[in-house]
Amino acid sequence: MNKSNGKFVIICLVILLIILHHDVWNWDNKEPVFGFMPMALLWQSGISIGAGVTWFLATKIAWPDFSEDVEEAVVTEPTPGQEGAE
Amino acid sequence: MTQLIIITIYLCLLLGLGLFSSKLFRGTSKDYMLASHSIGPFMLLMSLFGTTMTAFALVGSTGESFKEGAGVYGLLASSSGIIHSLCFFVLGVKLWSLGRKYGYTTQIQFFRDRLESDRIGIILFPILVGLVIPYLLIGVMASGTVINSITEGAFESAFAEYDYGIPPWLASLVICIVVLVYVFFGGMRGTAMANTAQTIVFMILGLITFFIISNKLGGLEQATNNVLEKNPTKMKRSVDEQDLEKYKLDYAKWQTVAYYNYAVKHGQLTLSDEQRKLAMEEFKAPLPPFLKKDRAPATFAKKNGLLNDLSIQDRNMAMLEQDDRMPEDGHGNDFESELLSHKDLGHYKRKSGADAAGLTMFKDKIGNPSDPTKWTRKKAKGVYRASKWAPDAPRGMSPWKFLTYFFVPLSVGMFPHLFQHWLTAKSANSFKLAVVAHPIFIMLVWVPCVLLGVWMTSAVHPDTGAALIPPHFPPNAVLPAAVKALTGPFMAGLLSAGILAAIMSSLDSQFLCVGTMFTTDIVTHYSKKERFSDQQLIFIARAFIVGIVALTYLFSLFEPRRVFTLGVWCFSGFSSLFPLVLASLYWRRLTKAGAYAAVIGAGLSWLYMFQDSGFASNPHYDVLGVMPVTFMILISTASMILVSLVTKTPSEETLNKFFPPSKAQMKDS
Repeated sequence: MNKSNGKFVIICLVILLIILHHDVWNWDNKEPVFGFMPMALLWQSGISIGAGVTWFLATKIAWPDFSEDVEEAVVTEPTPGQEGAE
Repeated sequence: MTQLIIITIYLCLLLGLGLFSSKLFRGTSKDYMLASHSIGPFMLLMSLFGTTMTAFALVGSTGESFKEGAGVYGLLASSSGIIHSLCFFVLGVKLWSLGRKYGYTTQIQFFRDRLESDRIGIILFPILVGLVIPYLLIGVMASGTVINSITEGAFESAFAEYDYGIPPWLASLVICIVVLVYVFFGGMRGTAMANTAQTIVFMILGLITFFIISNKLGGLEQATNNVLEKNPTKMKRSVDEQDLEKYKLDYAKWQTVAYYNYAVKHGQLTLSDEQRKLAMEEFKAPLPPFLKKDRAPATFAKKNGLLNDLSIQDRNMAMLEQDDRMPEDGHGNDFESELLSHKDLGHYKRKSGADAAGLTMFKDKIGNPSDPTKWTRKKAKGVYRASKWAPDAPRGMSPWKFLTYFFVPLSVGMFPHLFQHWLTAKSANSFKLAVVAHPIFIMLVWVPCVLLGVWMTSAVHPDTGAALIPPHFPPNAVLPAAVKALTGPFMAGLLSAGILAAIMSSLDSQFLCVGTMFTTDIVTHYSKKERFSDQQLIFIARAFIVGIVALTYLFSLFEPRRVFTLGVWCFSGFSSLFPLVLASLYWRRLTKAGAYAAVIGAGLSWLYMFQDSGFASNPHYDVLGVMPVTFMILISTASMILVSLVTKTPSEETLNKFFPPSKAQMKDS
């Protein structure tokens, strides 16, 4: 998979996670899952795991291409008085 | 005393680590501020995670879920899992590469360069430092609360005013000094090492705490069943019918007591001895004597129509007095004709320190908590609040507020201390582990804390059967109180060290960062080249850090706020600047004037809403039903886009520097 397709997949997964995060269908559910876990908490923990998986995929298929040996340089910021009309 | 000894040993170990890391110090300001870009993936993950998980994650999340229920996890933890890593991915890696390429140490250097503007630093510096202060405050405040709660009864006669434990002001001071010392000795390398060690400590001890406490409560299922039975609303995000019915009943009883007390106090009613005797005989509820004393005659008076003559105005005044609120503030025109609702009542300001009356009311019960029959001063105040003030109305979560909470974690994109941590990375690949593991680590820390907070709403003491944490208990103290009540002194000491580890692992980075910003963005920037030696710069950075810490410490001595609420305000401020950093990396059209507009729009809207919320004193503040951060981001984004579109674009040289043409584009041209 090339980087641009990879980015598209990751964007779609992030949007999906954001939609699933807003779980209005669980709003009134007070019944615990596994006997102790509130549904509101379990669902959102699933979102956390989903986020972990998504970001793992991102490092595999959409990681930006930076040179590993970036040359360090001296900062070239403007010094006071160097600016024109500000 | 055991707890105090363990905490002291832990702090000494930390100082030792700071001294050890100073041996690795290379003596340059770059090594002091950025650890010479030598931090690998594991240490980067641990230091980024330790820095973002502050008192907010442990003390704040437990306290907030105690108040608001299990939905708290969705408000910030799961959304942070998505957004934090997104920021590391989209902003962090790119800023790291630019930082390495052009030699940046701080955000302001990058913005000055990207926006071709020197003065953007003058505006951004006070805003960034100003927003770091409440963030520091969360840690400083929480460390005082934790140490004080956990060391209650450690002294025989000293510090009686602080329940015979270390006073919060002293505890906060010691924590600040310890963190200052190891940051001063070790710089960024020491900070990253201490963060790594402390993150491991608080994650392991956090999980141990969780299992010990759940066992004490009768196991996972029993602890949850208690909540289902007594406070089902805390298990979900809407109000449960059972809680609503119970609240209506309790509120009606509370009103009766308020009317009775008012009528007696203002001479409108006096029960004869015989009536009082009869009232006590008829009152069957199994309440402690101090509650029965006014509940019984109040119920009698109501039953016999003795309160019917009270006017609406009297009733309103009665409720304000019973709830310790100031009647002179905010009277509406209908105060005399319409009964105040509970919500209306909340608009009246409560008398500051009103719960101190509990100290007089229960003075015979207060003593050294090492004697199990004695109450702490905190408990006396807590019982006063729970028995005198109106019961809390069960509260659900608004789906709109829940949705717009999503904007809060965007703050990570603008945290100056994270920017500095990003730049410590050895390579872009060092980020990968942090990006992937961050959401999972958040889950490992937050899920136990949120569950504990929910359980504490309904937990009873395993030996006495009394409620472990009464209603109206200060949320910031829920976690240390639970640890103290349900574990032995040795474990309580260890677990407190874990909580302090989480707090200190954020304070250190923030301390270091404000010093770096001051020397880099102000001192070096506005002085002649080579004016200061590296040693002098490090000294100046340390002096500025001490100044900011002293200021934060002073703020911590004022009336405390909810850690969670203060944290959300601080994060909201940083989030409102998120559009600026995003646009500066991905939008060529962003101009200097557009950036000014964004910063001013963000700053002014934050200031206005923060003061409107009573400086974080109202934890349920919203704007048109959504989180205030929504409007801050809207205002800063709209001003940035509009002003950028009508002002001069940056120079071609700058655009080429930050948006270099791709290989394909170069080939085409």
